[in-house]
Amino acid sequence: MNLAPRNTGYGYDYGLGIDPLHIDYIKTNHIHQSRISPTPCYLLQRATGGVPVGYPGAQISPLAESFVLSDNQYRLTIWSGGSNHPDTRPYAVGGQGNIGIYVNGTRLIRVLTPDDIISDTEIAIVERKDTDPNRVEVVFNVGFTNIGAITYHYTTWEEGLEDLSVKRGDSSNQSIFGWQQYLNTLWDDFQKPNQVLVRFPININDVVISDEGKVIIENRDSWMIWTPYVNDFDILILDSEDSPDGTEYRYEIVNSTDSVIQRQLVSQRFKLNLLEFSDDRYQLPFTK
Amino acid sequence: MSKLYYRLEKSGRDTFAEYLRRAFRYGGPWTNRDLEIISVEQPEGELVFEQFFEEPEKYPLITIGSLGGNSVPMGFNDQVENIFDFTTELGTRSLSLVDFSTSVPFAFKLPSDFTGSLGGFTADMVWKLGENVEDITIQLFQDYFSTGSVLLASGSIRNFDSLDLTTYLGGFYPYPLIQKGQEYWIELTPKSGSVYRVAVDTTYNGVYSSISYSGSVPSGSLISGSIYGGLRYSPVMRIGGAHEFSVIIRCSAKNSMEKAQNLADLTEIYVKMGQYGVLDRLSTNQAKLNLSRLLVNGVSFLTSRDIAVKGVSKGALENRKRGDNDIVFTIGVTVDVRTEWHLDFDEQTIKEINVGGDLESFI
Repeated sequence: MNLAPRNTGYGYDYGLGIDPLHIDYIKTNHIHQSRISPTPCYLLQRATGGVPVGYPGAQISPLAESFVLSDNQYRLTIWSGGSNHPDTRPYAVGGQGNIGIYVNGTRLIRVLTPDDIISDTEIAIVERKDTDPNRVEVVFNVGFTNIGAITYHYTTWEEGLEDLSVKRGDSSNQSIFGWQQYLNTLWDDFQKPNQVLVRFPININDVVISDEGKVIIENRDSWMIWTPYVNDFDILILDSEDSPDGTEYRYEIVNSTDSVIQRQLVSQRFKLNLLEFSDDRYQLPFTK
Repeated sequence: MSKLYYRLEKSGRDTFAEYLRRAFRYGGPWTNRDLEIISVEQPEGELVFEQFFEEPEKYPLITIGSLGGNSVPMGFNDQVENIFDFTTELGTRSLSLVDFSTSVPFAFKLPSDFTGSLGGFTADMVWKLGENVEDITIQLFQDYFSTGSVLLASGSIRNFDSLDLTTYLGGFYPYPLIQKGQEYWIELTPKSGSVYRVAVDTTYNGVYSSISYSGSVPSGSLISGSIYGGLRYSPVMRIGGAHEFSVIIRCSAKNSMEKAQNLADLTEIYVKMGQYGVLDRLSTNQAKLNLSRLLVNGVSFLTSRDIAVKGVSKGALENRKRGDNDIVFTIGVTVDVRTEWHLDFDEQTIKEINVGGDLESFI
């Protein structure tokens, strides 16, 4: 941002739009406003993608004992319990899926089921729910023996999801790719570490009565500055220490809208749904 | 350990989704009797989902849901029967005979994927001519080759002097519970200097051993194969019935009646094919399917998954406004199916439940 003190009323071409210094001034004002009667909250954001386990070009070499030979067909277990469950959707990334299996560096083609494999260059991914713990297996062609040259990588999603429906509610924590907390090591008199300041609406509902007698109940917006950027379904946690009645409340962000001036994000508005206390998302851990 | 086997609505939706995903992924263009060639282009991604999926919608689209069902009896009543002869096969051929005696017992390992209550095992054996005729002690061990081995169950096989291979049943009671992730061995030891021979299948994916003891710790070299015989589950009482429900396959296309109609027509034909045959891919180069193994032993894709199709019906073309400018056309194909479920109770469990009861006290 250009902070040079050149806008003295002279020499600035307002045809170019608002002086950048004014936008800076607006943003500074927003920060001040956010400190007037704010509610300090912790922010949990829904992860938008899985965590990579191995990378293309730096794949993982499986241990020999991960392979099981059954009916002349090798099966490689790439996950059996624990974290980092592979994203088993067969159609992500243009039909290739998020699990990459390589022989001597050449990626094999994924087909839908083991019955469909008809060549050594093809594999199928099987999620075994009949085993304890559950397993994710790679199935190779009948007679394929070159297991020493196999490498793989994948990205994760949460355990319990199905590629048929991909419902976030099917995972135990209500998210397809998990959660990450917004962490902030800077704090001041207004907010503690890792907190964000949110202006809750003074009254939650407004009843608007139009001339014709139509009654509309409006759910009022909450408001915060431009950073950190929030998305729908992120969670704001009002910790018991900051809560007026000493109870922890969690809110889901919905209908988030941006306020943009001259291509710069200056503030965000959104509505909040109070999560019922029985909601799974009260179990999500956060760091103070 | 009681077990429940069933194919109800969820399983039905999964089966049809797997089948249609494959059929549409690999299926090429089809000709309907010289009139026109029908082909359906897949959206980028997948075409078939379970109803109420959360991925962004891309048309054309097939969603699979199920209507409520009802459990119906197999005949006048649900099926209720006792099953005594549930077996897991070990070796299938008698390829070699192994001598075992009081001083050199025979032992074989249980398959690692065997779980449940073990009733016993069957093995083909002969008597070694000229030796003593005494009973055979059978013992089931956990952690057999270690000092901490645990004897879980024992029993015996009555002595015999048959010189022909005969199948003998070695039973345990009470029935030991075999769990996953543990290693179990069964040891056969004849008494008082008698010698028998047991038939083994050396091609079976398992291990057996001729045992020698130093103190109480057994040792022996492991040989690939297992007995020619099988493991027998404990007797169960099976209660089962049929379940009837409908799967609704909704074929949707945006702004195109023809595409929705083609999807529905193909879906109907594919379901009929799944009733009578198995779909196989022909080659990697051509996206073509082959209807094969047509009614061989009555096994088709759907019957092999215990799904009998009672009827396929196609609904009307419906439309729904989508956004300001688009219309989504949908035809639902409803498949009425009949599946089955059954529940196996260990007879021991049944005793504890005491299903016999004292009915007269209620009257």
